[in-house]
Amino acid sequence: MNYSNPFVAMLFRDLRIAFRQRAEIMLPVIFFVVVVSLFPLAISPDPAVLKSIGPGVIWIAALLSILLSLQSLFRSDFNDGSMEQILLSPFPGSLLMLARIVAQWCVTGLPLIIISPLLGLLLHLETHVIFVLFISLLLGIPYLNMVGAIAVALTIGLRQAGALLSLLVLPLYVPVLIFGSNAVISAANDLPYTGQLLWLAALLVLASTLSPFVISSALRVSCSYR
Amino acid sequence: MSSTTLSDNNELRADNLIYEINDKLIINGISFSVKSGEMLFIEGSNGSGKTTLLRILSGLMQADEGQITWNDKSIEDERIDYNQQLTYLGHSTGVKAELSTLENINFFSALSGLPQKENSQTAIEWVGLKGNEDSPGRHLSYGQQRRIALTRLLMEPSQLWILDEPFAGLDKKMISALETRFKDHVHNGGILVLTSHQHIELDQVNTSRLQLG
Repeated sequence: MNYSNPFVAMLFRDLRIAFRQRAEIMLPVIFFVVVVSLFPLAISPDPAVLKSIGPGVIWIAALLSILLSLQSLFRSDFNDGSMEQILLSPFPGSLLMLARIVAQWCVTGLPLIIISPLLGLLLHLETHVIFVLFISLLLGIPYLNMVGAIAVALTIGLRQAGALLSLLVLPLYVPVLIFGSNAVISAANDLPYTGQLLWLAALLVLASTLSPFVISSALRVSCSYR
Repeated sequence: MSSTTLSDNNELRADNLIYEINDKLIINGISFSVKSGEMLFIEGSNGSGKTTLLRILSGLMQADEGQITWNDKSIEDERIDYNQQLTYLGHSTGVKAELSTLENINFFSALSGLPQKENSQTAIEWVGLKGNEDSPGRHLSYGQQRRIALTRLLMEPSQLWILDEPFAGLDKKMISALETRFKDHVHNGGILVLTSHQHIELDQVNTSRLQLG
């Protein structure tokens, strides 16, 4: 059997659906920009202050906007019966779920990563610090997408999953937040930061190899208790 | 297009299925067997567990006790093989509101591993959606959305059809086209398991009936 066809079909289906609901896909990135740009207004426009809080602010805002985007993940597939057809397809569920996460990352994670250097400038970060910020988000955000998708898959069958979802997901997000913002802070203080980035890379490898399997099993369980 | 390649020695067997929700017995020790060229008609009032039984048979849910086998192999163990033989249509159509008729149909065929898209045009004509190829799902009526889901019965070469209320929301013309398609499928050695509140009688089709509730 050719495995690339269903993967590509799933990926393009999800991207197509996302781009036809433009308002919805803009939400995480608008949230990200708004939160970060409110800090100079609320705390202080002083470059020294912004430099010291900048890395943390950007990372927290990115984390929260991914958390925000999780609410709609799998929801419509689950409600309109597509999920049943996906689970009953003769292709491995993990393959199809990988396509699903890649699409989700393109729509929610990638825009945050692309726009982050601009927000770095806004908070007076130096060029090499912005570079490290960019790399740390590039490694960290896909992890947030994948681990978040696991939590969504586990809770999608519940009626009021919102609060439970955040509770499940935040402890798993904390290591990435610590390594990510710490790498950027270290870069700003001219300290070595490769260790933190390597940790992010290791977590990314772990999540990307295991999460498709976990997500597909979790969805199977969620679907069987409808 | 017509499913002439179906093999004629398949068997779907259920052994003593039991399923309960909140201590209420929904399915109470059901056993049956359907072979190639046969139809199983599941009857019962609302809430008698027809949909639950079909979801268990499709592998979407697991029975608390009992076993389902396809050609003497448990469907749990041979899920990919079983899914290849299976077309399941449930209450929800799986039609995406944002995608056009053609995009929905093409996704269904990619999902079942069909290599080409040339069949989709014939399928669209069969369900009478010609002229609606580019309409997004949200602009279609419930009946039209069901018709999109039904194209899978024409395109997928599966041996086993499990259909939950296939006639819901359809007009008379589509119902009779569907009945003809059912007959062809069973006569070609396929297996048909369905529920319906409508009384259907397919002549020259080997039908067994299962009463629930």
